[in-house]
Amino acid sequence: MWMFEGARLPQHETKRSERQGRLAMFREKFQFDQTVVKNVPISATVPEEAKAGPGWSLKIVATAYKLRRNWEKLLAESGYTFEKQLEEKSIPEIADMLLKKDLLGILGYSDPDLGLALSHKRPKSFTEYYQLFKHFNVPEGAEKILDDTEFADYFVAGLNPLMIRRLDEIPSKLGFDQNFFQAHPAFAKDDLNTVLTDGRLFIVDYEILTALLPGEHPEQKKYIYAPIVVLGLPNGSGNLEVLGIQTGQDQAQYPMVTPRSGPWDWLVAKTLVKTADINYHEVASHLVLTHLVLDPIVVSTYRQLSDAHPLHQLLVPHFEGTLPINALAVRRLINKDGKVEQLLTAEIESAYRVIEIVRNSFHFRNSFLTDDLQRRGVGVESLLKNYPYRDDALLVWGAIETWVSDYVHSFYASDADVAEDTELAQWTAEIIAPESGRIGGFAPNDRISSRQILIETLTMIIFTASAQHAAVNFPQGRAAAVPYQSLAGYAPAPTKLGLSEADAIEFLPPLDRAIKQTHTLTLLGDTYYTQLGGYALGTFKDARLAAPLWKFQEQLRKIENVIDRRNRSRRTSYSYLKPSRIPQSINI
Amino acid sequence: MICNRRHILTVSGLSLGSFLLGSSLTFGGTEAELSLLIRTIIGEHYPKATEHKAVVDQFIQDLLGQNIDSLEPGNFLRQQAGKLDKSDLERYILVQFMTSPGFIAVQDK
Repeated sequence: MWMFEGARLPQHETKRSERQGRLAMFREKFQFDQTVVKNVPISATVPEEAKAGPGWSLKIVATAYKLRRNWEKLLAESGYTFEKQLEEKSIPEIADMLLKKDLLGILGYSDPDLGLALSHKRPKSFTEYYQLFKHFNVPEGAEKILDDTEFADYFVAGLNPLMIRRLDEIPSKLGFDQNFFQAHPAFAKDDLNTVLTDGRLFIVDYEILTALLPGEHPEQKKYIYAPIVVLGLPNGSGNLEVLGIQTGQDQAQYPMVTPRSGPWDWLVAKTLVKTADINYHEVASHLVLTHLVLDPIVVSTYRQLSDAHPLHQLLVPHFEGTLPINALAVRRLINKDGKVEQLLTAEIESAYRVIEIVRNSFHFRNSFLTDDLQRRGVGVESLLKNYPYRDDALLVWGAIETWVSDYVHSFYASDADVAEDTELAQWTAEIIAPESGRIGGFAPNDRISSRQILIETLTMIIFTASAQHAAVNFPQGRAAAVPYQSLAGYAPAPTKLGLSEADAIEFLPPLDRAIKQTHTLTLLGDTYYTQLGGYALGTFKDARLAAPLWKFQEQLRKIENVIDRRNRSRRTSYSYLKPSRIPQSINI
Repeated sequence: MICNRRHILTVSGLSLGSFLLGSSLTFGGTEAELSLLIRTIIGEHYPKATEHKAVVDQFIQDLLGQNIDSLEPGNFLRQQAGKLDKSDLERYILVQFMTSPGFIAVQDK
């Protein structure tokens, strides 16, 4: 764990050449690489200073053990056979991997790729997918695939609560009218135009996914879905109701399915939406907008802010494990024929293009929490009263902002101090520059010129590293249950209604991919390491920080209680932003 | 290899040993015997166990007292301890120990 000497700004440094020398050494070690995905910078290596503490890999080992045991039980109890056997290792070999913290070796042993299923190629029922959980339980709530309330709340308290937006007019591509609207019992006496004017109609549109090309399973095709979901607030209610799902972008081709359509038509429509949502989520909301946005900021922090710089000392605990997990993701997830390509819908080259587009259109300051909510028309002043992600995220954002403000004011006596901080200026420039960090909108006029701008910038970084990543990462545990949320679709989006149960199962993945989904998302959703505000002893040497840090930790404890109280009256409980469940950094 | 009374039976009588090898009798020993078995497993594969006796002691106490976030169901320990082939038990003990808070704290130093 890091132990820092007293922090000081570069303009107050007495040993300038020594400081410069150390910075030069870090610039050698930390380099950008934009070749893995074109125009998407990540760290070229994982230098020693960026490695996580030993507890990090051991937390992953604990979850990996459960996956190994699940494999063993699946093979023993279900009679499944695959192209490859589960490889055995002797106890001394396992002990050696553990002692060396050989994470790739441990993951290869615990959750190996056994190739294609040779028997039971496609599960025959929804139940069979749930029976893939042998050594650990089916995640809580994952059985609620028929519950429309849970489905509506998914967009405000689920895996990806970042896409819902208020609808001001019905787009021409959407086949939704007064008849569809009034057919819902909660809106029988309501008028579509009135609801639009009131701001009680909402949409989730997956049009961006049309940019993807479908990948293939060796034995069957996969399909891209780009559905549109329409949701509404009944008069006087703050809780959403789902009104309908158009199964594709073109209303002439794709039907509008509603809760009153056939039961399997409706279930399939919801399945398409969940699949589309997780495809957007994994590539954009999760990978790009947390992991890949933070990566170059980590690199520039080591390269441009001396380890004696107060901002280096504030930020580095929020970067623990980020470069190692990103490196692991590059090797095991987003590589050609890696897990992303195997499990998600898109073939990897088209996914790379979407990653490049989303990453390079990201605007740092426009993505501040309140700005994002405002732009989508779902801020606290909107009629959407039940939005657990928004309400809890705002509390955590506020606590981080107060802590950062106290911290900044402890080291910067005035805005002039900010302007005179040469390391801060170089850090900012490097994060923005196309040949290095490529983060658009990082600072007004490409300069951090005041304490207020600095506070906003640091708050956004720490919020993204902690709360935002927690909000998009840990709900993946529930998506480990394939019928709840399939990572890819294996039948074309329906253009006609009248589907059966057998048709509905065809949309779900074959056995080999289903097990891989269950294991991968369990690993990602179940591995918690560190806790927001829990800085290691000795992280901050400056006595002036003791009281603000205590205040921050106390504020987080209060937020925990507030969220517990809120959850008692919420229609759907939301625990992902309870501070006790938010890690300090992106480390999984 | 862990040596206990059943192990001795396997080497002293092949037919009985073959029978017992696949058996899954629940471990009938005392808590002290179980504790010794766990300590032996850790000691065999983690050479520094003797340097961190307090950590090992605390781990065993937590494990037997079920005061730990266990990677296996509650009956696993005694079931596996009752088997002649203890490789599943050894693997479990090693992973559970090396992911325990005490072991992590030692690594952090």
